[in-house]
Amino acid sequence: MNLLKTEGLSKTYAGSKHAALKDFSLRVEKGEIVALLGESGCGKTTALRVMAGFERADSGTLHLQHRIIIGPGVFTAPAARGMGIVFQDYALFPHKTVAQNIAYGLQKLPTREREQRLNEMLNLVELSAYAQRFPHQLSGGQQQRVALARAMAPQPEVLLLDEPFSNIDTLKKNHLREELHALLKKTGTTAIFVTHDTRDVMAIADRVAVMRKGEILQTGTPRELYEKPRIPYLARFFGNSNIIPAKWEADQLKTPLGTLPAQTINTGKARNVLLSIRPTAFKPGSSATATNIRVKLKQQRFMGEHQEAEFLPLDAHENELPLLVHLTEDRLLQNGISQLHLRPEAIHIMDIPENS
Amino acid sequence: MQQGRKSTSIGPAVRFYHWVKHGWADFRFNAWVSFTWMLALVVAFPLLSILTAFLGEADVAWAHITKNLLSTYVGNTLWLLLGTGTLTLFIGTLSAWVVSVYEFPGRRLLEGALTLPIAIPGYILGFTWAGMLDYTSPLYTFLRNTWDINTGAYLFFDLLSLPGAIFILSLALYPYVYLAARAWFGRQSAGLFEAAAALGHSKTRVFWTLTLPLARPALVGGLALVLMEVLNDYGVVSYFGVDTFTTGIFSAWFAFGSKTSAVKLSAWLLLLVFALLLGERMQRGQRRYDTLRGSSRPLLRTPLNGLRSLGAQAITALPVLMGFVLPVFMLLYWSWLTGTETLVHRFLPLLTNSFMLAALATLLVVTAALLSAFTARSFPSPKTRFLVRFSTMGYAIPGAVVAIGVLVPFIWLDRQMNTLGATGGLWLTGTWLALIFAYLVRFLAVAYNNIESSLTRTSTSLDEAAQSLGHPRARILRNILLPLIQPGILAAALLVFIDVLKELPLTLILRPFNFDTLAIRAFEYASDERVAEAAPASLVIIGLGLVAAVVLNKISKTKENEPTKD
Repeated sequence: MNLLKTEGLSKTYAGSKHAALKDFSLRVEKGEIVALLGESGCGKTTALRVMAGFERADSGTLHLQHRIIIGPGVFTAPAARGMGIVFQDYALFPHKTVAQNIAYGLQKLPTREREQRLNEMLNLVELSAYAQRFPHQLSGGQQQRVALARAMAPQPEVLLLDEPFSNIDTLKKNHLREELHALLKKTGTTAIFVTHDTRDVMAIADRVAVMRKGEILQTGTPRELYEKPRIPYLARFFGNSNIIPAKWEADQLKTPLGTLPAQTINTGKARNVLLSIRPTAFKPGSSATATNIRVKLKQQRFMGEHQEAEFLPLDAHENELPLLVHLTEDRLLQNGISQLHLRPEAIHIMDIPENS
Repeated sequence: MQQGRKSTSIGPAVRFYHWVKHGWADFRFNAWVSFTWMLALVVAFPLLSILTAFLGEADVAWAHITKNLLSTYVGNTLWLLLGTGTLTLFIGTLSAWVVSVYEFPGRRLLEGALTLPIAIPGYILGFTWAGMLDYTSPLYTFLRNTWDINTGAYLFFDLLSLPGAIFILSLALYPYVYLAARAWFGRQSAGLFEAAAALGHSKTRVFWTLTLPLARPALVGGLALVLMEVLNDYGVVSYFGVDTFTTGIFSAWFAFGSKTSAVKLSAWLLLLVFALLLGERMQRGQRRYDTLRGSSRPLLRTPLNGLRSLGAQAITALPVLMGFVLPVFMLLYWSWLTGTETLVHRFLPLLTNSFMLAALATLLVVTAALLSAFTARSFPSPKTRFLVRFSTMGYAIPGAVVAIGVLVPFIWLDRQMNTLGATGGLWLTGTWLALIFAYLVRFLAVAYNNIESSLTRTSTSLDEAAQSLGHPRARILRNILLPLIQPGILAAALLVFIDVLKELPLTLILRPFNFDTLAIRAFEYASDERVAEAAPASLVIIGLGLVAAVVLNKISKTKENEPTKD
């Protein structure tokens, strides 16, 4: 059973020609952490704001548990939705203390219970010692925890987070990602968060929906999206990839590099496809169990953790097609490589997108 | 509908249940927005009553006015606009340029002091100068007795004339241009000058070829405010005997007793204001002038020595001396002459009267502004934006026009109530009601702009956070926003309070019988050739204006120090 389910949510802002959100359908399981990933303007924030109730959808539905939150003739006020929200700027009330901020959503509880819940939350985010401080006296990470505690205090069914790390220094991000992930998992919180950074997704999300122009392009685990992107845009979103045109016929892929083996057999007619091959898929030297490609080094760059090299395949017919390859050992390059090999399972077949 | 029912199986009963449970949100929505509708209607009311003038029948008085007076009104008004516009542009731009680009002894002091004349209402400056140059004035007496200089009836020229009015209005209003120009010059990046210098241009050349063209929108913005105030002025032109549209409205109403003519004149004046506003908007156009934002280093001022430094001091000190220091000293001297007797007996009741009226008006205006600014923030839509812009339009409308626009329908309403027999008095026009109503129309924008700008500085996610935590809008406004925008509200209240206190034409027309304010009493004393007795009231108005300026300055400084959220 899905805890949260949206179907066909759409939204076009007044005065805009393009839909900010188009047929947005998402399912979230209880306890799951789902990321909405995309570049700015892709509609991810609109999706979050529609779910939170700060924008009205033009059409579509939103179910939470068995309740209808958004539907034809139904619009539930933000406070009645059972959702907690952590804002990008945290939106902490600057004139209220940490304790007052966290307790602000507990106004309906009797005093004793309110105190108790407040203390629970303070302990959870490890800010008991800071209860009487004001937000501006806290670090960015602490502020984020106050915002989290405030949103979680009324025990929402879903937590929505808008760009949780955009205000954090790069150096501290890794640590805070781990911290947030641990906290959400410890409390079994169901969460949806919006981000433009794939590193956030890799670190925290159980599942990710990548959006572009108001639409979800693909949903899956981060690994699925990395390994099996549906279109080239998605392949490039999670790091570099060699996108190579090919003709797929039965178990063969005819490419400018030569013929490569296909993992799955095309039972239909031969058709044009695109291949995505990650730069890490190529290994130096030849192998009996893999496809061997003769190459010439064109350029190399030192990237810190690896070497990035561009090779020109020697047997390539048609125009030049440099291959981007990540190598971990400098030495191999200095020796000069004349051969790379490619494992067949590293070749991912994609459809050619209609509009490109 | 069909599809929705199929996929989610929402029956009418379920929908009704949801509407009952959650639909209240929509009702609250209406309450806020309908308030802004109401406010827009309040402002539309006097406007419409003026604009009906174009439909109204002309009467004898109007025939007389069009035949004998209208050309004078139009001519004088246009000369005033042209003369004051040119002079304020000159004084304001020149002094702003000098304090922004050069360094000389006393520059910091003068930079601030150049804004001081804004604290003196034009009519006070007018009668003070007239009194200073009077045949019996201390200055004239001194010249006569010491050096035996006798220039006849007038010291230099007859101040009570059109050129005199232009001179006074320019002294009182140049700070608008100065502030706009200084803000612009101060923002200019040093890079611009360095680039021009590298190309072999002098500072003066840069001023004419780069700074001035780039500053045009800012300067015209300041100029528009000046011209608006010129059209609004009644005190100076009336005291100086220059017949313009505003004095025309007064004589049509009070001397000819012709409602029609007063309304018709108001309508023409209103058209003039609209034309001015339109012109200002059009010249701004689509072009962007501040492309140098971001990496701009402030300009380093060039130090001046010797004669040039003296020249800079003279240029910047003269407007301050003539527009503030001299008049204030004169008023102090006169106040000292009037003695305490008059002060206690005549002055204290006047003070309480004025303050109570201003406080009441301020409370109403600031509350209305707060509610409409909060509504515009909470429900941003083209509709609310239009409503707000419409309801803050009153600041552009001359006070006399607002007054006539309120008075005409109120008189009619009073008559209707009297014919109905229920009441026996003037409920609307005979009390503070009409006055307060008119202040709301005229000064809403003053409060609104201040409150709105401090609201913009607080992130809307605060509202949304509170909302998602289950708090209604009214409580969000009270608990979250109000404490955060306190300085903005204080600033708004101060400005409205001062504006009401020094307002003249509107108050003169709408005040209840035998009701005086500081501004009116000062003006009447001065008009009765009792300038000395007008001094204490004038000083109170000026003093409060200065206090307000200091407080506002403090507030804007603390704002700068706050971490800004974007």
